[in-house]
Amino acid sequence: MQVQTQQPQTQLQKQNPQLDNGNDIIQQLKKVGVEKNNKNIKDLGPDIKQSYDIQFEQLPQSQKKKGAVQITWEKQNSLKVSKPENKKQMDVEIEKQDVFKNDPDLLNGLTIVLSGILNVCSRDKFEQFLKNNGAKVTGSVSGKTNYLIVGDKLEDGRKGEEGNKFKEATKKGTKIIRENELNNWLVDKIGVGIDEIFPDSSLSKLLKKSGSKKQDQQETVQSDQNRNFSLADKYMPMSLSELVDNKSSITQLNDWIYKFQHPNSEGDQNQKIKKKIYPIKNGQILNLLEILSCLISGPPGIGKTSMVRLVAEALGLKLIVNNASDKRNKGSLRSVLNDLIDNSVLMNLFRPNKDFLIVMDEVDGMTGSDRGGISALIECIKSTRVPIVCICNDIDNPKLKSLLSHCYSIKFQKPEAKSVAKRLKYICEQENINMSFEDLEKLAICFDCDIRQSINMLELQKFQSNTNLFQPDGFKKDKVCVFNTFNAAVSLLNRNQRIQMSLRDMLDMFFLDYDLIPLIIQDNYILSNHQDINNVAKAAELIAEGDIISKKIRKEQQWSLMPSFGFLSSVYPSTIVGEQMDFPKFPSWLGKNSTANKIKRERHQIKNRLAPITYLTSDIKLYSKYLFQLIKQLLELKVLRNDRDAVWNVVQIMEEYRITPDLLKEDLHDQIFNPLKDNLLSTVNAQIKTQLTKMYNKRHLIQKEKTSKKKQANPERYISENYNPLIGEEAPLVEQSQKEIEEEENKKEEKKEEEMAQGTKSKNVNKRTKKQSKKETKKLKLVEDRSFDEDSQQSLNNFIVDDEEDE
Amino acid sequence: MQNRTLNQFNKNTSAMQVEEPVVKPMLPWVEKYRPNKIEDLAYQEEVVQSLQGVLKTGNLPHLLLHGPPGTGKTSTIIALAKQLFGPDFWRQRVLELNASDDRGINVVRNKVKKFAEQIVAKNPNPGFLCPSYKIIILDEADSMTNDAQSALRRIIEDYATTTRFCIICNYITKIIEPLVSRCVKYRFKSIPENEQIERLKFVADSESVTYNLDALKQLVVVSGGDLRKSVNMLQSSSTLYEKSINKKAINEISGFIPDEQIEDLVSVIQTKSIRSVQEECTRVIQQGYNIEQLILQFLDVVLATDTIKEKQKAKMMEIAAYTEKCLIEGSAEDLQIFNLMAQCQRIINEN
Amino acid sequence: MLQQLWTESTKPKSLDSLDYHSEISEILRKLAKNSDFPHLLFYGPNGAGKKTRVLAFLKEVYGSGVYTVTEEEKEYKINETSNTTTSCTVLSSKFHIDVAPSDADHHDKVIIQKLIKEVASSHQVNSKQTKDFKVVIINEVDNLTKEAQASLRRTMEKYIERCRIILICESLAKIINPIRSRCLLIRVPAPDQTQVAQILDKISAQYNCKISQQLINKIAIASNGNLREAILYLQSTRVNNTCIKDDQNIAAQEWKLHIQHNIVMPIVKNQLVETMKEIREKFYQLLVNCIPVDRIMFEMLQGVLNQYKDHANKIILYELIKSTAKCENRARQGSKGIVHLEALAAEYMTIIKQFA
Repeated sequence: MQVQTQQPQTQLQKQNPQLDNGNDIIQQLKKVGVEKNNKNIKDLGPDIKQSYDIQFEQLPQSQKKKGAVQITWEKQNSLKVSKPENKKQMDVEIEKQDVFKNDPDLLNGLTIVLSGILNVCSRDKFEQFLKNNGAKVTGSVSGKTNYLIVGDKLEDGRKGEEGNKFKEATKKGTKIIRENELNNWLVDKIGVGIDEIFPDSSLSKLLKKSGSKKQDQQETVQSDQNRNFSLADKYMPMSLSELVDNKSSITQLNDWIYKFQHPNSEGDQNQKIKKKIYPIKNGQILNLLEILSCLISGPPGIGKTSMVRLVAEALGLKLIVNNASDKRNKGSLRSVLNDLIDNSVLMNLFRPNKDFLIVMDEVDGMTGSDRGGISALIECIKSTRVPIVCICNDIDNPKLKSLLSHCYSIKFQKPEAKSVAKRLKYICEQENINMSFEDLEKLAICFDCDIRQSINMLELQKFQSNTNLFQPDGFKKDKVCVFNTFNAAVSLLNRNQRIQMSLRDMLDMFFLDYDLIPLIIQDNYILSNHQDINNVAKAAELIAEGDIISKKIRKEQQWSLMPSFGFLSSVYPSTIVGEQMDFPKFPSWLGKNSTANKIKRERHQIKNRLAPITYLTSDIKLYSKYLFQLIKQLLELKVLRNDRDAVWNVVQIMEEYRITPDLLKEDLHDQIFNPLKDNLLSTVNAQIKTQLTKMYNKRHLIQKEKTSKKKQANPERYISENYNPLIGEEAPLVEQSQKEIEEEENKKEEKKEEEMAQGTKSKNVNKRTKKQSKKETKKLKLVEDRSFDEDSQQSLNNFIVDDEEDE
Repeated sequence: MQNRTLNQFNKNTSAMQVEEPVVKPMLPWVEKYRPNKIEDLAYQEEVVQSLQGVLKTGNLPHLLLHGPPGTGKTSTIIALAKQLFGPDFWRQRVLELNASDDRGINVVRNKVKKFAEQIVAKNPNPGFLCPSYKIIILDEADSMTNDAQSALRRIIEDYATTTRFCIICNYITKIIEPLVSRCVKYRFKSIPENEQIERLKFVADSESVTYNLDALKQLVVVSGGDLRKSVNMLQSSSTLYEKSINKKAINEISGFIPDEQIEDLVSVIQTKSIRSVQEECTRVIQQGYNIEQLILQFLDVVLATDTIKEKQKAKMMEIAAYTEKCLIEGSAEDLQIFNLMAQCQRIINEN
Repeated sequence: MLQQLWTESTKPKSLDSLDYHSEISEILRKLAKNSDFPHLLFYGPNGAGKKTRVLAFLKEVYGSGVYTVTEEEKEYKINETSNTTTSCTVLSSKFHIDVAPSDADHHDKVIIQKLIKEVASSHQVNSKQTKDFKVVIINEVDNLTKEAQASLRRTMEKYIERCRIILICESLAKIINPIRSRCLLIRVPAPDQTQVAQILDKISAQYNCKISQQLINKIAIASNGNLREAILYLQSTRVNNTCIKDDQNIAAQEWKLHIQHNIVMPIVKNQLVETMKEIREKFYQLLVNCIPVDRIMFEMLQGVLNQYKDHANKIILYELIKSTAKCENRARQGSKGIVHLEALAAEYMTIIKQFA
């Protein structure tokens, strides 16, 4: 993997022995500028010199003189500026200039396809490099393709060999270059090693740097041997080379940090490039240069934190780690981070030569008591001058969504079992644990390539057996990694799969998801091709018993009953009736239950509405059914008999029972047993419905007006024994409004008339403003003036809509 | 909270002293005739004896009083407290918590502990023993959560010097074992008929209610040994029937099901028609009778019926037991009673 | 003329205007006269007139002010530390409050404790005229959790001076014994057919709808003692038909028909696993509509019994009844209705297969 020729790199190191980190290298390089370039060329190996010579020869015009090199560089630079649109990661390009010059002829005529993730540098960068040197990079393998460069892994974590491109290439006979062959190929083709082409990001340099530190550290570890370290701590990676896989992530992080530290250098030279866009995962497009933070995500125990630590070490950055053990709510985060990110002056005072790297570990744990933590973090990220690296496990966590849009996302892949095993083997050797490579690989697979966990297991193994003998049977393949919920249900319901399992295994299936599995089984036990009704009855009974237990578990927190529940609800019934089942249905109970709850809520609402008049507590269903039917029938009568009073009666009924038109259409409607889910009001003439809504709202407004008038005296509406809207002081008002409404119906077309009606109405009910010339304004006014409850607001809207429909 | 409880008792005691001019007429007789002294306690001789020993020495262990409702558990401990500390002091020395108060683990940790921690002096009240401890009464402890009970056990030990606990419950099985083992258990027996009648006579006489013995006997029968219930019923029937009670009045008030109804049921299960069973059950349900009561009375009549064989009776008892279990769990009455009757019919028709 | 449904407009508002159960009215009148009464527990089937009697009784005690109510949504914290609240709608007059704590599901205990303490701690404003206690009406006590009932028992003793509690429930068996022993129990039986018919007669005369005695009797039978249903039905027939026919059929409720046609019939016809698949959907239709599981089972039982009522082997009937009772009990203990309904359907099928 990381076997790369370090020859040229060493040379570079030799030349600049005074530089001790990548950051400084870059700055120094800039200062040194052209002289160094000259020097470089001189000191370069013969191959490269040759290539330069060739280049010189190929240069068309008066550049045979030695001094012309400088001009070439400048020209090259200006060339770059002039066509920046295709170039990503410009700074890298610039750096490249110092050691390696792009030449469009170098790889001219070659068609190259890239596949998978490259460890050595980002794929984009490499692609750019190829393009700059004249190669044609295409998306898919065709007959014309000369080379296929395959990374160790694909983006989705499969091996490079599994990719379609790889298969295609083998079919077509295209030359395939693996990542470990890449360097040789490059040297072969263009005479330079990969490290030279991408010096700033080159892995090997970092490896080297951290390696030197590692030695000291390892010595200290050695001296601390007597202390009781857990193996996982002891063998925490001390250098980048010890990290297992994910080299590409290291490169990415390194790039990102570099970019963060040198936004200006690039900005000066490439104003336009700053606008370059970099798409990230969720389709959002962000300027790479403006991303001030990066988010590393990946499963636990594969070395994310270690990687960040080592990269920072290698780059000489001071690490400030903030993890889940720290308090991270809004306030504390602000006070901690703001000090760091704002006070660059102070920081420079303290450590003029050192920079910081803030690591927010376990950001997906910033929940619960860490209220507002994420948003505070985002605020800090927006104004930071220090790179902030966030680490999380699950990038799809909805809590992290907002953070994600501010971050450059680096994904950590699960390492391969082989690589993990390699590392484990190393540890075994150190610790004198006798285990074969194959067993270690199994171990790694068991723990889903979680290195930390594997090491812990190793330690357990070490203490358990004095002989240090490993029994592979000791590890059962963890079902959780292998099965998802539906698979588990399928395996329970299929006779063929079931006979391979022990009872224990089947119970394990249940425990995979003890909420969902019983539901799936319940939904599918009659669908699984079993024909004997007696057995089905038996299964149904068992499931029913299981339901009783489940209620007990939840109500009394008797979790110890869980296995019994598992047997009764899932294992036993599926053993009886499960014959064959390919695709289990998703439990329909969930949906039905929520519908039932909705109707229950609606019933509750109706009950509350009706309570003051009917004193009803039970029988709501019956009552609302008849109430609804009565209203419906009255409305239908309107058509049959052309009965004008009918609508008015309905409005009165609705008012008495405090049923708004919306409530009628929805809540009350839903209470009626109606398996086909028809719209029961569909038999009622649409016009009449409109009329009803309209009349109701008119009346409602008057009512509102009245109550607001009476507000001081009677804040609540009393529904008294003697209350009757037709008699008493309210009576003229009601009649009035009824009259108006009828009037209005008659002269609907004549708008002026209507306005007059409105006018009289407003006079009668003592409306306050005289300015209401238009209906709409009046309505709006009403809305403004009084505080309507939601219902009336909605019906008002309906009212308006209905009106428009009429006209 | 403590104050409120004490106020409550304050009122109770003031009402209990009959010589006070203002006697609240609405005070339930149960409170009014709650014994003021341990000696007044009906029937529970063993308890009375040993607690009198306590009164002499002032040496009170932790108590656990259990037994069916209405046998005088709460009355006992309150009477004891009054006699120990005297009428002026007992309110300060007693903390009573019952199921209507919040008694989660937090209350145990805070309120109970706080009260338990206080140290009181000995003998501030001449004439009474008034030993240097306080009493915490946990009434209706069977409805306390297990957590709260667990929290109690340490508190009981820690503050044993300053505080005595008295746990009162109906079902001792609902109290966790560690608590039970820390207490002296007293079981309160159901009060037998003649004792109850004596007591009821006393109450009726003091309230100048006219009665006959039949009525009182019926009262005891319908209350099933629960003295509180029978006193309550005595009160309500005397209110309703103007201070004179008879058997019929008692039946009316207690929800006792008329014998004719039961006879109907028994005769219907001896027919062969399921339809008539169904109809009879619907009628019973519509009448709204208390089904548990119905089952009890039904079994009484069945047992007394000679035409039904013993074996059949036994089987019917079994089904009745199952039905009652279902009813307690809240099952639908109409279905369950229908099942009971139908199965009984089946049993009779089987032979 | 039509502002209220007849159930309201014809509802008796005083003890004197109650139509039946005069003996209960008599008891209540005596209690009201006495200026003091114990806690009351009204029990009896739906639509028998429990609430009507309670309110009529209160009117007798306090005057017609009890019918002037305001509605209020009360919120209570579940406990001191958490912010979760539970709410419940309370109807209150000057003299009483009317509440159904079972609306709050498992938080009903909180409402009982807080509400009654609240009521008990507030004094009556002018205690000279009125009784110096308020009345708390608690509806649907049988739906209260056991915990809530337990918390009620001591509360009833403790606050008896300040408030009286009137409990209303359908089935006494679901009330714990300590509560029963603290209350005066008043059983309100459903009116019998003739009583229902009389009332319907009276109402139809009042609203001047010409309806034959035959139809009234039919309605009375169909209502099964639920007076509310009978009156509602009467009104809907009145609206439905301009002239009421004598031989009009009294339709059962739709869901009952649904059970007969779509669930019972398939079970009787084919005892196959296919049938199970078919009726599951029908069960869900009922459950989604919040029809209680025990009612569904009851109707199913009625249906199958009807189908096999003339069957030679009587055992099948007993077995069907037994299995229904068993499944109903299980459904009560469990939580997912569908599971128990399916178990019952499957059991019916096996029984039918075995004995029929």
